[in-house]
Amino acid sequence: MIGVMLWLAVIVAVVLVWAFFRQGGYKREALTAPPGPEWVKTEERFVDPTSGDTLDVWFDPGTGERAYVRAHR
Amino acid sequence: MIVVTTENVTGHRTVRMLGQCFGVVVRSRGLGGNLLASLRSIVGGEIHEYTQMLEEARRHALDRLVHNATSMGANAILMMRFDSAEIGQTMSEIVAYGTAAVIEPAP
Repeated sequence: MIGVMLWLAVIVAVVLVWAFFRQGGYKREALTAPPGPEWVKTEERFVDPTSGDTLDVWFDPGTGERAYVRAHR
Repeated sequence: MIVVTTENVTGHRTVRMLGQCFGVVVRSRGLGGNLLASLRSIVGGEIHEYTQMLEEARRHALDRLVHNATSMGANAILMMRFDSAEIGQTMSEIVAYGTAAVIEPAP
Protein backbone atom coordinates (compact mmCIF):
# COMPACT_ATOMS: atom_id res chain seq x y z
CA MET A 1 0.00 0.00 0.00
CA ILE A 2 2.81 2.40 0.90
CA GLY A 3 4.56 1.52 -2.34
CA VAL A 4 1.48 2.41 -4.38
CA MET A 5 1.14 5.70 -2.51
CA LEU A 6 4.79 6.51 -3.18
CA TRP A 7 4.39 5.83 -6.90
CA LEU A 8 1.26 7.97 -7.01
CA ALA A 9 3.14 10.78 -5.24
CA VAL A 10 5.98 10.54 -7.77
CA ILE A 11 3.54 10.64 -10.70
CA VAL A 12 1.66 13.62 -9.23
CA ALA A 13 4.98 15.42 -8.63
CA VAL A 14 6.08 14.85 -12.24
CA VAL A 15 2.74 16.12 -13.58
CA LEU A 16 2.91 19.20 -11.32
CA VAL A 17 6.47 20.00 -12.41
CA TRP A 18 5.48 19.59 -16.06
CA ALA A 19 2.36 21.76 -15.67
CA PHE A 20 4.24 24.47 -13.74
CA PHE A 21 7.17 24.80 -16.13
CA ARG A 22 5.13 24.49 -19.35
CA GLN A 23 3.10 27.60 -18.54
CA GLY A 24 4.32 30.71 -20.30
CA GLY A 25 6.60 28.71 -22.56
CA TYR A 26 7.62 29.62 -26.07
CA LYS A 27 4.73 29.30 -28.49
CA ARG A 28 5.92 27.26 -31.42
CA GLU A 29 2.62 26.54 -33.16
CA ALA A 30 2.40 27.79 -36.72
CA LEU A 31 -0.56 30.05 -37.43
CA THR A 32 -2.90 29.84 -40.40
CA ALA A 33 -3.27 33.63 -40.69
CA PRO A 34 -1.37 36.68 -39.41
CA PRO A 35 -2.40 37.66 -35.86
CA GLY A 36 -3.63 41.14 -36.75
CA PRO A 37 -4.02 43.80 -39.46
CA GLU A 38 -0.97 45.77 -38.29
CA TRP A 39 1.34 42.83 -38.91
CA VAL A 40 3.74 43.07 -41.87
CA LYS A 41 4.90 40.12 -43.94
CA THR A 42 8.67 39.77 -44.22
CA GLU A 43 10.56 38.04 -47.02
CA GLU A 44 11.72 35.35 -44.59
CA ARG A 45 10.40 31.88 -45.43
CA PHE A 46 11.54 28.43 -44.35
CA VAL A 47 10.41 24.83 -44.15
CA ASP A 48 9.64 23.59 -40.64
CA PRO A 49 11.67 20.36 -40.27
CA THR A 50 9.14 18.91 -37.82
CA SER A 51 5.89 19.41 -39.72
CA GLY A 52 7.25 19.94 -43.25
CA ASP A 53 5.10 23.09 -43.54
CA THR A 54 6.43 26.11 -45.38
CA LEU A 55 6.24 29.05 -42.99
CA ASP A 56 6.28 32.78 -43.67
CA VAL A 57 7.49 35.17 -41.00
CA TRP A 58 5.25 38.10 -40.08
CA PHE A 59 6.34 41.03 -37.95
CA ASP A 60 4.57 43.55 -35.71
CA PRO A 61 6.48 46.86 -36.05
CA GLY A 62 4.88 48.21 -32.87
CA THR A 63 5.97 45.51 -30.46
CA GLY A 64 8.77 43.78 -32.36
CA GLU A 65 7.00 40.42 -32.14
CA ARG A 66 7.36 37.82 -34.86
CA ALA A 67 4.81 35.22 -35.92
CA TYR A 68 5.13 32.10 -38.06
CA VAL A 69 2.30 31.67 -40.54
CA ARG A 70 1.74 28.78 -42.95
CA ALA A 71 2.46 29.93 -46.48
CA HIS A 72 -0.43 29.92 -48.96
CA ARG A 73 0.74 28.25 -52.12
CA MET B 1 12.44 44.69 -39.52
CA ILE B 2 15.06 43.69 -42.06
CA VAL B 3 17.53 41.12 -40.79
CA VAL B 4 20.56 40.55 -42.98
CA THR B 5 23.89 38.76 -42.65
CA THR B 6 25.64 41.40 -44.74
CA GLU B 7 27.13 44.78 -43.80
CA ASN B 8 24.74 46.73 -45.98
CA VAL B 9 21.20 46.35 -47.23
CA THR B 10 20.88 46.58 -50.98
CA GLY B 11 19.03 49.70 -52.05
CA HIS B 12 19.25 51.27 -48.61
CA ARG B 13 21.69 53.50 -46.78
CA THR B 14 22.48 53.21 -43.10
CA VAL B 15 21.38 56.36 -41.31
CA ARG B 16 22.38 55.42 -37.76
CA MET B 17 24.10 52.53 -36.00
CA LEU B 18 22.51 51.82 -32.64
CA GLY B 19 24.97 49.23 -31.40
CA GLN B 20 25.08 45.53 -30.71
CA CYS B 21 21.99 43.59 -29.80
CA PHE B 22 21.44 40.02 -28.73
CA GLY B 23 18.87 37.27 -28.43
CA VAL B 24 19.93 34.51 -26.06
CA VAL B 25 18.08 31.32 -25.25
CA VAL B 26 18.94 28.08 -23.48
CA ARG B 27 16.67 25.15 -24.21
CA SER B 28 16.46 21.51 -23.30
CA ARG B 29 14.42 18.53 -24.38
CA GLY B 30 12.17 16.97 -21.78
CA LEU B 31 12.80 13.60 -20.20
CA GLY B 32 10.68 11.81 -22.81
CA GLY B 33 12.44 13.52 -25.71
CA ASN B 34 15.88 12.67 -24.34
CA LEU B 35 14.89 9.03 -23.90
CA LEU B 36 13.54 8.82 -27.45
CA ALA B 37 16.67 10.53 -28.79
CA SER B 38 18.91 8.08 -26.91
CA LEU B 39 17.04 5.15 -28.41
CA ARG B 40 17.17 6.69 -31.89
CA SER B 41 20.93 7.28 -31.62
CA ILE B 42 21.43 3.52 -31.32
CA VAL B 43 20.08 3.07 -34.84
CA GLY B 44 21.64 6.24 -36.26
CA GLY B 45 20.29 8.84 -38.64
CA GLU B 46 18.65 12.15 -37.88
CA ILE B 47 17.63 12.72 -34.27
CA HIS B 48 14.33 14.48 -34.85
CA GLU B 49 13.88 15.39 -31.18
CA TYR B 50 17.08 17.46 -31.17
CA THR B 51 16.46 18.89 -34.63
CA GLN B 52 13.12 20.17 -33.32
CA MET B 53 14.75 21.54 -30.18
CA LEU B 54 17.42 23.44 -32.12
CA GLU B 55 14.90 24.72 -34.68
CA GLU B 56 12.77 26.11 -31.85
CA ALA B 57 15.86 27.57 -30.19
CA ARG B 58 16.83 29.27 -33.43
CA ARG B 59 13.39 30.85 -33.79
CA HIS B 60 13.28 31.79 -30.13
CA ALA B 61 16.71 33.48 -30.24
CA LEU B 62 15.83 35.35 -33.44
CA ASP B 63 12.50 36.46 -31.97
CA ARG B 64 14.33 37.88 -28.95
CA LEU B 65 16.95 39.58 -31.12
CA VAL B 66 14.29 41.30 -33.23
CA HIS B 67 12.31 42.27 -30.12
CA ASN B 68 15.41 43.82 -28.53
CA ALA B 69 16.35 45.66 -31.72
CA THR B 70 12.80 47.06 -32.00
CA SER B 71 12.99 48.34 -28.43
CA MET B 72 16.25 50.10 -29.37
CA GLY B 73 14.43 51.91 -32.19
CA ALA B 74 16.07 49.98 -35.02
CA ASN B 75 14.40 48.99 -38.26
CA ALA B 76 17.20 46.66 -39.37
CA ILE B 77 19.75 44.26 -37.99
CA LEU B 78 23.02 44.05 -39.88
CA MET B 79 25.65 41.28 -39.79
CA MET B 80 23.33 38.89 -37.97
CA ARG B 81 25.06 35.74 -36.72
CA PHE B 82 24.21 32.67 -34.69
CA ASP B 83 26.44 31.14 -32.07
CA SER B 84 25.80 27.96 -30.12
CA ALA B 85 27.17 26.11 -27.14
CA GLU B 86 26.25 23.20 -24.94
CA ILE B 87 25.50 23.56 -21.24
CA GLY B 88 25.60 20.32 -19.31
CA GLN B 89 24.59 17.18 -21.16
CA THR B 90 21.17 18.12 -22.43
CA MET B 91 20.95 21.91 -22.62
CA SER B 92 21.74 23.91 -25.72
CA GLU B 93 22.45 27.63 -25.81
CA ILE B 94 21.78 29.63 -28.96
CA VAL B 95 22.81 33.27 -29.31
CA ALA B 96 21.61 35.40 -32.19
CA TYR B 97 23.45 38.72 -32.41
CA GLY B 98 23.95 41.58 -34.79
CA THR B 99 24.16 45.33 -35.14
CA ALA B 100 20.94 47.25 -34.68
CA ALA B 101 20.65 50.05 -37.22
CA VAL B 102 18.31 52.55 -38.75
CA ILE B 103 18.22 52.38 -42.52
CA GLU B 104 16.25 54.18 -45.22
CA PRO B 105 15.80 53.66 -48.95
CA ALA B 106 18.69 55.12 -50.91
CA PRO B 107 17.78 58.17 -53.01
